[in-house]
Amino acid sequence: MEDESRLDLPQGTLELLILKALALEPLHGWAVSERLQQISSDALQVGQGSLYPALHRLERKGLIKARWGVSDNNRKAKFYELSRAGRERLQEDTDAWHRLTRVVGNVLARENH
Amino acid sequence: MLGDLPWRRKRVERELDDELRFHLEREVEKLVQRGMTPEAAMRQARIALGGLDSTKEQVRDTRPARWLEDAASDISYALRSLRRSPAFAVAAILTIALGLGVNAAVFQLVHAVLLEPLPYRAPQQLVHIAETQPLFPVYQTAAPDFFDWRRMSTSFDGLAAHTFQEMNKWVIRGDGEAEEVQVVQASANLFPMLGAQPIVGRFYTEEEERGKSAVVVLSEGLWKRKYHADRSIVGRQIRLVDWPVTVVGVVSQQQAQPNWGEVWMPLTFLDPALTETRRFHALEVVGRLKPGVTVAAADSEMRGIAERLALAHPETNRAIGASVSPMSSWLTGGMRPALLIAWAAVSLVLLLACANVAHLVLVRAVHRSREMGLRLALGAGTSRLARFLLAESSLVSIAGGLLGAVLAHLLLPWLVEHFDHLEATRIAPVTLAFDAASTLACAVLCAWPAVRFARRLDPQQVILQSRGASLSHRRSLFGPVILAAQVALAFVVLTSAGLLYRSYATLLNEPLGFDASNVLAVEVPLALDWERSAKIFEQKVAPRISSIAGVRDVAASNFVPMTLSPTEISRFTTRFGVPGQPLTEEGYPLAQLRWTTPAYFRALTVPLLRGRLFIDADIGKPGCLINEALARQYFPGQDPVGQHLMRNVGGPKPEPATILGVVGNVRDLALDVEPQPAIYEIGISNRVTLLIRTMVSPAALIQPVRSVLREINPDRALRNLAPLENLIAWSLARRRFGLELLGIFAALAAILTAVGVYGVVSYALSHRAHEFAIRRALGADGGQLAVLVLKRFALPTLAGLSAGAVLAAIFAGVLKTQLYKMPASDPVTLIATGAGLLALIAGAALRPAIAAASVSLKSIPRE
Repeated sequence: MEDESRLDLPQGTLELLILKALALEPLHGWAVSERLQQISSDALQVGQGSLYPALHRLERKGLIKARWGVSDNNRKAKFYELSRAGRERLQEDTDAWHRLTRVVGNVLARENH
Repeated sequence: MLGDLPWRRKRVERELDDELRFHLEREVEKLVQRGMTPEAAMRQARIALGGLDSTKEQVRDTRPARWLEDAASDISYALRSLRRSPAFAVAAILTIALGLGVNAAVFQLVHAVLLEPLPYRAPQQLVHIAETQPLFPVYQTAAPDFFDWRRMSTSFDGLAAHTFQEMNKWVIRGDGEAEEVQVVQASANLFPMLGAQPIVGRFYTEEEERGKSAVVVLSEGLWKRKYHADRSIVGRQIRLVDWPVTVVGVVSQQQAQPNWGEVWMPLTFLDPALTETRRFHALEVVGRLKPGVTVAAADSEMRGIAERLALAHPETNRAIGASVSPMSSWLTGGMRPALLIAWAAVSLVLLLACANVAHLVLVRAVHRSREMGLRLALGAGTSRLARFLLAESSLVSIAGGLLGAVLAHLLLPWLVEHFDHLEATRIAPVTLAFDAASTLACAVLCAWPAVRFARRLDPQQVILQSRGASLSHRRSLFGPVILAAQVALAFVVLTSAGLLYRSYATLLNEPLGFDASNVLAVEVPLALDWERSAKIFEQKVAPRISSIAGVRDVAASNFVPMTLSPTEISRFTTRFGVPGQPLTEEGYPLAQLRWTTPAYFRALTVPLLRGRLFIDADIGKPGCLINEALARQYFPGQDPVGQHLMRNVGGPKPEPATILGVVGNVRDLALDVEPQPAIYEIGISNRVTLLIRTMVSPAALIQPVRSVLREINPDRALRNLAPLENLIAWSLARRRFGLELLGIFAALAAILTAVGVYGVVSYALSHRAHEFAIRRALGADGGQLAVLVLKRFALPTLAGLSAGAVLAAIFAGVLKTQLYKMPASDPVTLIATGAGLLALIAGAALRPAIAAASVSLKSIPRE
C-alpha cells in the first residue's frame, strides 16, 4: 500500500497544513484532505484516519470553528474555518517552520563537508 | 463545548457519524468517477480512512471529557462482564470484603485508642510524671514528693494529681439503692489545667480545696445513671457513706480524668497517713508543659529533682527517680502493642486477599486474551483495556468495601468489649475514609498484574493463535510470585499466632502456688474503721458464712488474687528491715504485704514449708509469715523461723515481728508476674476479700453467700463475687483476646493461602495438561510428573518461606512485648508453622496436581 516516494509528516505539521488549507476558505473534512493532496502535489501521505482527529483537536483548541452547512453537491456537511486565533497561529507556526528548516538545512549542509 | 457533557454525547457521536459518512460518500464518488466499481471504491475508501472505528476512536480521544464517557462505558461493560461470571464476582467480592472488613474494624480501634488526640486543650503539652523504682519502672507518686515537685519544678504550666484506681470505693446512700462508687481525690487544678469543661455546673476551686469544703464533681456516667441527668443536681447534697457533700458540677465522660472516676473531691481530703510520709505512693501526677519545653527537657529536670529528694530523704527516696512521658502514651501504653500487632496482622490478611483476587483477575484476563486482542485490533488502545480491567476490579473492590464496612460494624461491638473505657462502638467517618482509601488501593493492586499482562498483548499473535497456550508462558512469572507472596504473608501471621499461643500455654502452666478450684471470692466493705471491721468479720461474717452448707473455711484478705492491673501492684508493697543486714542501695527492701486471717492458708491450700501457720491466738501479736522467695533472698542458708523482721521502717516507730513460719510462693499478682518476696500479717482492713473454700461447686454458693451478706448489711455493695478460677481466667482476658484475634486472622490467612495456592496451581497446571498428556503417552509415570509439578512450585514456596522468615523477624520486634517467657525466634513455633504451611500448600496443590498428572491424551480436545 505504501508509496515509498511519499513523505510521512513530522509530528505537528499536519495541523499546520490543515490551518494553511483552511486559510483561503471554509472546507469540509473530505475537501481538506483533497486540498492537502493537491497543494502538496500528492507528495505527502496524509492518512485520512489522522485527519479527523487533527480537525477535532484544532476545533477543541479554538483554532478552527465548525458549522454544519450544505456542500456543493447539496448535502449536509461539516465545514471548518479558521478562527482569529487560528489565523495568528498559522502565521506564527509558518514563521517558526521557515526558521527551523533554514537552520536545520544549514546544519545539514555543513555536515556534508 | 457543550458536546463535552456526557448527556450531549449521543448528539456528538451522531455528528461524528454523519461527518465520516459524508467523507466516505465523497471519496467513493471520486473513486467511482475514476472507474472503480462502487464495492471496490467503498473498500478502498474505508481503508484510506484507516478503519472507521479506529478513526472514531481517535477522534473521541481528543475530547477532554473522554474519561468520563469512558468511565461510564467501562463501568457498564465491567458490570455486564461480572454478571456473566457470577462465581468470580462472588468469590472476589467476599475475599475483598473479609480483608477490608477486619481492616476497618481494627482501624477504628487503632484510631480511637492511638491516633485520636486526647480530648483536652493542646493535648501535646500534657505529660504524665511517674516516680520510678527499680522494681516498678512506672510507680505512683508519694504525696509529699508531689508537693515538692510543684515547688521545685519550672518546666510546667501546672502540675495536678489524683489518687489512683482502687484506692477509694465509697458508697452513696439515699437516692435509690446504695451504690458503690469510685472516689477520686484530685487537686483543684486538674480539670482547669487539662482544659476540660463541665457539662453542668462548675469544678471545685483552689479556695474550696484549701478550705476543705465538702464539694464534689460527678462523672457524666454516674449523673445519668443515678440522677437521670437531672441538671438541678448542682448545689444539692448527696450522702457519701455517712457524710453529706455538695455537688458542684458534672464532668463529661469523655473528659473525665481518670476515666474510671465517678466522684471527684479536693485533694486535701487525702488520708493524712498518705500525706505525712513519702512511703506511700498514692498519686498519679499529670502536668502541662510550658510552651517550648520538650518532654525530654522536663524529664531531665524531674530526674534532677528526684536526685535532690533522694539526698534529702534517703530512707524513703534513695532509689526513687522520676520520669516524664506524653500523657497520651501513658493512657494507651498497655493497649498499644496489642493493637499495632492486630493492625499489622489484618494488613497482611488484606494483602493476601488482594493477591488472591489479583490472580483471579489475571486468570480471567488470560482467558479473555483473544477477546482483548480483538478489541485491540479494532483500535481499542491498551490504555482502554487497562481502564476496563481497572473498572472491573474497582467494582469488585467497592462492593467488597461496602460489604466490609457492614462486616466491621458487626465486628466492632465484639472488639470494643475487650477494651476498657472505650466508647468507639460506631464506625467513625474517618474509618469509612480509611475503608474507602483501602478499597481504592485494593482495586489497583487487584488489577495490576492483569493490566501488565494486557499491555503486553500483541493482537496479531493472539488472533493467530487458536488458544492462548503460549500466553501461559508470558504470565508464568505472575503465578509463582503471587504464590511466594502468599506464603510469605501467611507465614508471618501464622507464626505470630503460634507464638502467642505457645506463650499463653506457657502461662497457663505456671504453678499458682495455691489451689484456686472450689474457692469463692467476694470483695466486701465492712466498716469505716478497722476495729469495727474486725469485729464485724469475726462476730458476724465468718460464723454466718461458715454455717452455709458446703462451706469449709472462710478467710479474709486485703487482696483479691489476680485482679490487679500492673500499676496497682505497688499499692500492696511494703518495706521491711532485716536485723543485722546493711541497707542496700535501694534503701529498705521491698516485699508484698498481705493482711490475712488464720484460715487464709487453709482456704487457698498454700503449703507450709517451715515453722507453723497462724493460729487464732496470734491475733493482736506482732508475728508474721514469710514466703519462700523472701526466705531465699534474705535468709540464705538459714532457718528464718524465730528470727525477726523490722516492720514500720521509715515510720516513726519501727518494731520487730517474729517470723513464725515460711509458706510456699503464691503467684497472686498476675499469672505473668513472678512471685515476689511476701510478708503475711494478721489483719482485717475495712475492705476485704472473703475467700471461701467450698466442698461443693463454688458457683452454687454464690446466691447463699450473697443473701447472708445482704442480711448482715443491706447497704454494702459486693464486688467480684465469683469463683476464684473465674477471676484468674478474667485476669488473662486481654491476653486471650489478643490470642483469639490473631487466631482468627491466622485462620483467615490460612484459608486465603490455601484457596490462593489451589487457584494458582490448578490454573498453571491446566495450561500444561496437554504437555503432561504427551509426556504420559511417551512413558513418563505419575511419579515423574509429580516431581515436575513439585519442581515448579517448590522454588516459589521456599522463596516465600524465606521472605516470610525475614518479615516475621521484623514483626517480632513488636510482638515480643506480648510474649511471656518466649523468644520471638522460638524455633519450635517457627519450624511447626513452616511445616504446617508446607502441608497446607501441599494439600491445596494436591488435587490439581493429581488431576494434571492423570490426564490422558484422549481427554484433551484437539485444536
